[in-house]
Amino acid sequence: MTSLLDHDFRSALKWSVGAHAVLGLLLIFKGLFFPSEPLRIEDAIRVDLIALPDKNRSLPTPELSDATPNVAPVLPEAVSTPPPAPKQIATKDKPSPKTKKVDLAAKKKQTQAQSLKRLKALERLEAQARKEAAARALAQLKAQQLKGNQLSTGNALSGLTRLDQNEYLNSVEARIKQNWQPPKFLARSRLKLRVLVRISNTGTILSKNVLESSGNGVFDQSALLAIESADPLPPPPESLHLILENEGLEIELDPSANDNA
Amino acid sequence: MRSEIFLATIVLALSLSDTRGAFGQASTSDPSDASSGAYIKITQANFKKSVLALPPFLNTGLTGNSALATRYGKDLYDVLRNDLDVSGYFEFMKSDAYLEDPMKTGLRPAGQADNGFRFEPLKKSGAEFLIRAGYRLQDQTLTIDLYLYSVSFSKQILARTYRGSAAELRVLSHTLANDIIKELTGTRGMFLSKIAASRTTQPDQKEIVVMDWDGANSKLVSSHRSIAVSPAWSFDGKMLAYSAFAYRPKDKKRNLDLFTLDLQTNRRFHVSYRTGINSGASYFPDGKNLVLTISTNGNPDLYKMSIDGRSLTPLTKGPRSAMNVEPNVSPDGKKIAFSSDRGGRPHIFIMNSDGTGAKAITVAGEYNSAPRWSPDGKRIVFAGSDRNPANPRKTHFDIFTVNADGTDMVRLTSAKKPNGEFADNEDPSYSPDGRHILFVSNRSGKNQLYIVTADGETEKRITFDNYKYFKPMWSPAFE
Repeated sequence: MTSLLDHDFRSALKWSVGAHAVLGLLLIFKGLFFPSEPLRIEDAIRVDLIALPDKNRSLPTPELSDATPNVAPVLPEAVSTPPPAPKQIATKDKPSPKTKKVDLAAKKKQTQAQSLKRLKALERLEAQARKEAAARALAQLKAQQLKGNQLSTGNALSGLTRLDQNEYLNSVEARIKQNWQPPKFLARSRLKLRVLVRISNTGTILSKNVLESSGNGVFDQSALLAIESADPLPPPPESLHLILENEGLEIELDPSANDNA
Repeated sequence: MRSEIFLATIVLALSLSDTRGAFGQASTSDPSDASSGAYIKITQANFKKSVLALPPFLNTGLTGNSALATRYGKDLYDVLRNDLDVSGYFEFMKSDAYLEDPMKTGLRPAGQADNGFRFEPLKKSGAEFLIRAGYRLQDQTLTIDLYLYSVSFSKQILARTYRGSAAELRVLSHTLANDIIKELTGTRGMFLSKIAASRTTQPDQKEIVVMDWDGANSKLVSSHRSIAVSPAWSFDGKMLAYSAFAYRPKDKKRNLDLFTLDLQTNRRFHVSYRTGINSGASYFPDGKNLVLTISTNGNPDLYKMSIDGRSLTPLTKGPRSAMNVEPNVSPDGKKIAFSSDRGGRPHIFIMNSDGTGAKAITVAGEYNSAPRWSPDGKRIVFAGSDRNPANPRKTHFDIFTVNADGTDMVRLTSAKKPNGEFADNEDPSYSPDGRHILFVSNRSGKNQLYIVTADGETEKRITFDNYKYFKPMWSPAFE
């Protein structure tokens, strides 16, 4: 009986191994000689986790915009009382009474001014410390509260970043367009040119180069002048900093693009 | 059983092997591929006139400033300045804005000639271009040296010498203007072109007149002592076709016959005298045929006719009792624009030059007539009747342009007469460079000739006399 089973088992095993081998070979063969299209792993357009907020018993009622939680500020060691007044020389023995009095009064003023200054500095330090602490607390709050009316900012290609970018580019376009005054005698000449402009983080134009001239020096010059007049541009959004400062912004100027005649 | 299992695995293998990624390459798409860097396209600009410094012509002759020479210098200047002004490209620098007196310096810049002018003072005054011209008169010959400079770039753009007889003074100056426009824009100006029109000679008589585009040198070219109308230029500008009422002693009445005139020899040909109307002629580009309205067969219809008047081919036929009039052949000779009331009201139609494929291109308006093609064949100018919105019982004609397919209709005129009513602006035709349109207007009280830039921006009166003008036609380019 066992030999029968053995035999069956062995032949089944052979068939199985054979089938697996064929499968494997087929796949290898296919992969080598007929590769399928490469997978495109793209950034998702936008993924927002939206859920109703949890009920938080431990945290205070969230005032996410203007949080000033009751966190005791850490104050530096400070003297809160003004320093003692300087010793007053007895008015009895004064070799030159007037000058001495003036001296004293001046000195008193000085020290009082100094103490005022110290007070002010203290206040400033206090305020700053409070701010920092509040910011820290806020960050903590935010980190914990992923749910509720909060949208993720999305990734580079999507969401608010993308809107910011488009808005910025539109404003640059409008700025240059309103400054551009090419001569009327070129209005029907169907000229166009491309310029590359590098823009700093603060919006100043770092460089401008003609990529493709219109063939007409006057026309080219009018476009470059328009870009100069638009300088400085508004500061670009952070997501564009690198690209505008290094690769630059390509501007195509083609005033007859919309002509039908 | 085993073979089935075997087959099953094969099938499974094949189907699975199609799933993506099996030994294939996975790649991440570079985010920068989608937008490939920051890019914007600007498709609008505020085109503005260039500031031109145009000082008077400098007399560089040896004979000194005789009264005649001075007069010639002034005439040369006036003609050139008018031409450049009408071009609409320039804003002239005021004569008191010169920081360096141009009459005290030479025609060329310092560094290239003695007593040269300097660019700096001109730049300070805001000039972008400078034209310096010198002339000298020897006997009856005028020689002109022209220099065109770009002040912005401190460099010379054009330097040329012209010579002609003093009698051709205006032609010389117009040629300067054409060359300047050609240098800056790439296409010639229209300053050497002419206008043919019908004008009153007596209260009840009209003759054909030919004048320079600016109204100068006006000459009568017909003398029928009758009514001559609708002049049409041949494409080479050598012939004029027109209609005139000719008296028929046999019938004891007049008939509107077609004549052609050779402008060089002054010979006149009586080309078509079929009974009825023979009018509204328009030449084909080859100069061998023309199209006109003939009513001898009952209705006013369009016919293609050889220029000797013999061969006649009907192009339109009604329909029914419709009138087909005012034909105009397109610059490539392939199409004809005309006015027809076949739809009830007169509208502008376009058909093939063999008469097929007639299509309306205007549907709005009450009375659209006198269509003329633009030199590039893309647009048609015509006169359309419009109701006064304030007083719907009154109508008036205005000039309109429209694409040859009927889109983008633009009104170019809307002037008022001295009595406060809207003027009639009619019979338009394009300049040979397509930049201007010539028309007749009664805004001054009487029909006079006017031109308007093709975009409708600037109008200018051409004739300032007591005649009444009708049906003007702008000539082709003469060079």
